Amino acid sequence: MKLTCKQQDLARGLSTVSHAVSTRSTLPILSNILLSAENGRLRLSATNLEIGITCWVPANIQEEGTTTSPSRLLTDFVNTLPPADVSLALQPSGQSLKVSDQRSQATIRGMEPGEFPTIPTADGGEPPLTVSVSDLRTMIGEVAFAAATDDARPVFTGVLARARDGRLTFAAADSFRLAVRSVALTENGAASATTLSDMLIPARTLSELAKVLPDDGTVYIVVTPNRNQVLFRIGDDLELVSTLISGQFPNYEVILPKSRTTRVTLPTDELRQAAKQASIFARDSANIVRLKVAEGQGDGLTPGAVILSATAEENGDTTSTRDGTVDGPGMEIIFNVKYLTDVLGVLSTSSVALELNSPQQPGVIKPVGDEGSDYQYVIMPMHSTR
Amino acid sequence: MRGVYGNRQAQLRLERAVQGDGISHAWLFTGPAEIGKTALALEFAKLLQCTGRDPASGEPCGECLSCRKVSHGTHPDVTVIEPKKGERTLKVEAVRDMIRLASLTPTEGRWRIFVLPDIERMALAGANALLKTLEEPSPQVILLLTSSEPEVILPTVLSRCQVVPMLPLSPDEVSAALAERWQMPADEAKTLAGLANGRLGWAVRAAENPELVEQRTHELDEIASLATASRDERLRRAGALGKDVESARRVLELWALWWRDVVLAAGGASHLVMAGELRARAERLGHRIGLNSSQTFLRALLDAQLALEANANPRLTLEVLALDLPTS
Repeated sequence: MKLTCKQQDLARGLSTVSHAVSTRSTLPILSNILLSAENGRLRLSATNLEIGITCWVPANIQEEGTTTSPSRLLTDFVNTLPPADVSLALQPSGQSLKVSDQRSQATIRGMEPGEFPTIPTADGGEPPLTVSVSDLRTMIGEVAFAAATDDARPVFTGVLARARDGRLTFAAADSFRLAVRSVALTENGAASATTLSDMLIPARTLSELAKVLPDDGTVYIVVTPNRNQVLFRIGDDLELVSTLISGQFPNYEVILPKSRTTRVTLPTDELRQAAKQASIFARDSANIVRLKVAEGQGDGLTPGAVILSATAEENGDTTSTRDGTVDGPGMEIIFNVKYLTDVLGVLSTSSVALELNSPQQPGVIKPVGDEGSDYQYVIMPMHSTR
Repeated sequence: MRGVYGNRQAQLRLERAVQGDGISHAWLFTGPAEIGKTALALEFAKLLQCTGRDPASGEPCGECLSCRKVSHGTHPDVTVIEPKKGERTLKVEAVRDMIRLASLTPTEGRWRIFVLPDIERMALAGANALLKTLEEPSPQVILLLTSSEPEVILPTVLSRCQVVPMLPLSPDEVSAALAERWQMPADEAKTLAGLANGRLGWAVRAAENPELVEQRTHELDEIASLATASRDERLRRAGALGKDVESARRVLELWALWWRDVVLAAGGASHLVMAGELRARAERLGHRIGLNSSQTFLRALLDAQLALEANANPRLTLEVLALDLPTS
């Protein structure tokens, strides 16, 4: 293997794939990056057996070949080189890679490339789903955080992906809350009718994917023929492969409230700020926040309002009132404030709506004014012990 | 299966399981230490993952990428879960990590296989955490457990597994394996097989560490010479051999191994396990004391092993045996 490439390209490629390098593992090969010089490009791959990232870097190949190199050493060394041509050459004996530029050089010992796990490809799989990078990034941002982080029930650590009737839907839940969002699937700019059976993508995978997504472009989502892996192909130089979670995600559709008795609409940052204030006091008392929706007075002078109050045991309490448009009777409900601040932190629309049925039934938060967004965030209320 | 030696019955059962449809998701290999339980579990894993085998055969091809990766211990879907270096028990965190991995689909193989050697070393909390996965793992997960002390395993774990009992190998099997796989000269293999007491794992280790052979030969020598020592001398040496439970257990096992030859020699059999000087001494002693008293003492040895497991004092146990030793 012998090639030259630009330091900037190589450094960017290495930093992208290093998201998938395993830090602690029983397989030493996983702390290495696989380098392949082929078809006029340098292919870099890393995997931690849950996520694999492959990235292609433009290069001038003098001799094709494959090797592996320790990720930390190679990445850190390449980062110290100035932005100019870098040449990589595999030494004739063993797996030593010589990395050099005009003034410095390093020899880095790697391991047999045959030991490196096979990173699956999507050849022969079902037809890909196509979404835009910006849609996918929004979906990940608005849904993935709602997945559970503890592994007691593995299905809740995943995000359900469902392609049906021309739309791709993501749903995540941790049994106290549920976030659902869908986008239209496209194919060469036109609507696509591709359907795909459900898959459970680990939430971790999606957060890693969000980190490596470029600013724009198109993402192709493919499931491998044995249905064990999902592959995201972004442009023609980046692929991310992930194992799926096996198991059955609960039928979330029955949880989505079909009706509402009270709906309050108010600016997102007003509610965000009120929730933030309440959370400071609530953090010492099980994150309990009382949310009171007050009807406006008939005189047309007093508007409707949302009043958030929280009590810190023995240390004081807080009450914040924010004006809003209330439709329906007044109501009081108790929420875990963390579930409120989480969702308000990811919504980008100027206003949000909170829909309630009763203090014992789940509430729903929806963005207002964002054309086409069907985002729904369901929160289970807490019970008052007082 | 070509890659493992002995316990043909257990092998056949696994081969049949693979040839049929519907493989049980949890297996427990039981039997004494170092007889090849983990080796068989890994060979089974290789067979399950093999992509190049004839579906009708119960033999991994040994040549496909998957087989080679299992042999090198680098198959991403065959994970051996063991205590960290320097720790005796498997911590609950390691079990939790495994449970999380078990909820994911396999990376490149057909199955996601976990091998858990010596399951009795698992902390109680770990064993309890494992129960749910053991009872109802994801469809592509297979758990292979081994244990040399199945009686101390939680019954809830035991009842969720297909148990595969395994026995020590015969000396012939051990020496054949040593000669074939580790290219050992036949006479050397036979001597080592005599000392191994059916434990191929020990023989393989001993082939690389001559001091293990020396230690065992020395202990056997001590045991054999007890028969000709004076009463005081016997008492003193037995006390030294039984300084703690571990060594008493080892000595009793060796003693029974050697004494088995004494009984066989007394009965006129020629197919003894030991070779060389130890064999000659067993024959001389056997002829001198006769079948009856040699058999009686073999029973006493086995009883002593049981007593030791039931918390008898190791030193007293060995001293009593030494005094009961038939000499004339």
